[in-house]
Amino acid sequence: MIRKNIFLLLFLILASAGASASPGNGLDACEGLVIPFDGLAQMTLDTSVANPPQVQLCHRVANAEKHFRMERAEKSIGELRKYISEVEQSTPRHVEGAYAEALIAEAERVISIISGDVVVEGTISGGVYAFQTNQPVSGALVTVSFSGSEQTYSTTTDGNGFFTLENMPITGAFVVNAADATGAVGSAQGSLLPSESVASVLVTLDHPGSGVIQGHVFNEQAQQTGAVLVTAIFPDSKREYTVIAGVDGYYRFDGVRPDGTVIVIAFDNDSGASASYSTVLTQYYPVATVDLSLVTPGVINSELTNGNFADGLTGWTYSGPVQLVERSLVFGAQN
Amino acid sequence: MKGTSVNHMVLRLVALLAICSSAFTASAEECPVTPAAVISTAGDTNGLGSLSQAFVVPPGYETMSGRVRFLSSEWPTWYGTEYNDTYLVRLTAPGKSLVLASGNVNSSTWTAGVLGFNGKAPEKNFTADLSALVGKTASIQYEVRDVGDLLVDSGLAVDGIKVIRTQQYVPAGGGTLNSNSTISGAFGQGVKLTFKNLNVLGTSIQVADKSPFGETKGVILLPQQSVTFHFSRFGQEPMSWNFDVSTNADAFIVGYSIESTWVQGMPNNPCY
Repeated sequence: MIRKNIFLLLFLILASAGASASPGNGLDACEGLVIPFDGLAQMTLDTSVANPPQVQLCHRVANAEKHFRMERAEKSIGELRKYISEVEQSTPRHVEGAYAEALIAEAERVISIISGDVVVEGTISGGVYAFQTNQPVSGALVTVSFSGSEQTYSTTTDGNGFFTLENMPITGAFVVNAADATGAVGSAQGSLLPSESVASVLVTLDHPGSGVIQGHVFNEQAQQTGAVLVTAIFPDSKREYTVIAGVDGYYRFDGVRPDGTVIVIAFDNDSGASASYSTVLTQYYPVATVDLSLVTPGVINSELTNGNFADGLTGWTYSGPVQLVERSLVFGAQN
Repeated sequence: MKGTSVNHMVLRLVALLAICSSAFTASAEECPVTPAAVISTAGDTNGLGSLSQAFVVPPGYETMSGRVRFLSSEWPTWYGTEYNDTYLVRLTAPGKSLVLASGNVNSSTWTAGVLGFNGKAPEKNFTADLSALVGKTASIQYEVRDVGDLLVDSGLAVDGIKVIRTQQYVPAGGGTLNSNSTISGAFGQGVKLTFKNLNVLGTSIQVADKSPFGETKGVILLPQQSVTFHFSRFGQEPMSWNFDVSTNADAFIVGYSIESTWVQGMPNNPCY
């Protein structure tokens, strides 16, 4: 018993010493966890939680996620129960009282999801409309795809152009493709989250154009990375297209209308990393190759910091010149 | 004589109320003076100006709002050409990616510029619902980018971001609608409209804030399904709001409730 306590003490000392020494301090166990553990992990990193027990709590969440991924739900729940117990023991000395309640509530919510007490299926509903006339399109084939999954889900629109798909996996962002019997096609994106399990998506259909946008998506190690959503937006015509890049990071939009300037955005559903670029697509230049390199934020504030620039650019990251000016020079007092 | 006495009492009461009201109402001079940030493509070898912040969304955050103004020297000479610089405002988090505002030179309307840019486009407001992202790391990103050349620059003016917490919203009314309608009233800077489809059929619903820079939002609502739209503006509270609620469905019966950051009885807020 004494030996066990000594080991525990040593573990805590090493954990806390490491925590103050470098970013690779054990808190990284809280990084990159999947839904539904990601929220609890991020909340654990808040400054309202002292260290110890912060590192230990991070490891609890990471272990719970690991067990869950290995389909050991009971062990996963066991880790979360220990997490709750440790939060309770650490309150109020090491975890602020009100924040402890939020942590415990979130842990209980994750347990509910894992144990099946909460229905984790989502519902995607929406409407399909003709781009030119904005009239509903009935009988259109609607297909939903999720990044990182081969599985697709299909249905057709009713007489009002509406569609509904139930029992959808809640894994974040998805793509809706629609097509009608005349060959008109369209796509849009949406998302399902544990706390937002109903999504509504509007898709506009139009006949394909002559343009092509293609390219590769790279991660921060300059490696091609797949299962990434890529969206193309034409501000001039308000047309939008979305695809999921292949496992090799290659994406391609065929049949795009060459409506001028296009903004292309890549988004990694798991990490939230993203990238964007703008180029031109015209009838004379109907093919564009746009490679995108995902960027993950280097600095993460514990909450929105200096949102009104009262403290200069503290808390913000920027590239290119940034000027702070008197607000009334650019914006009205009332809008 | 009696009537005069009553009138005096009423006048005194009104004066007292005015004094009390002024005692609880901040004056415009007390409002914090904060700057706007202007990002620009000038001098950047990639023709990109960007400003971003990543933050963990704490419990209680519900609405994030802001506004931007596109500035460019491509207008008027290069308006309508391929030198069609763009701007983009987006919010990303694991599982969710939202484009909050986007545009380019050719899709904007222009007036004489400021800060050395030839032209300025109208202000654009944006509002995002953060409630589903609590505990996640979200990132707000503003970008302005040269297209076609690096010679003529564009900029994006960024006003401060406002966060409205759940407890700041107060019930401000409600009712039912069975056709295209207008919801009007004096509300605060932030307004939340929640609609519930009371019909046995699905319906489309579109809500347009009719203020000069207002947003338009729409969804398909299944039977008994609810949706909440978040709107925000910059200005003194209270302010006048007008929302056009429309549908293209034949059958339309929705209940709605309004929540606002300002309701009757609250002191005026002169700070924007």
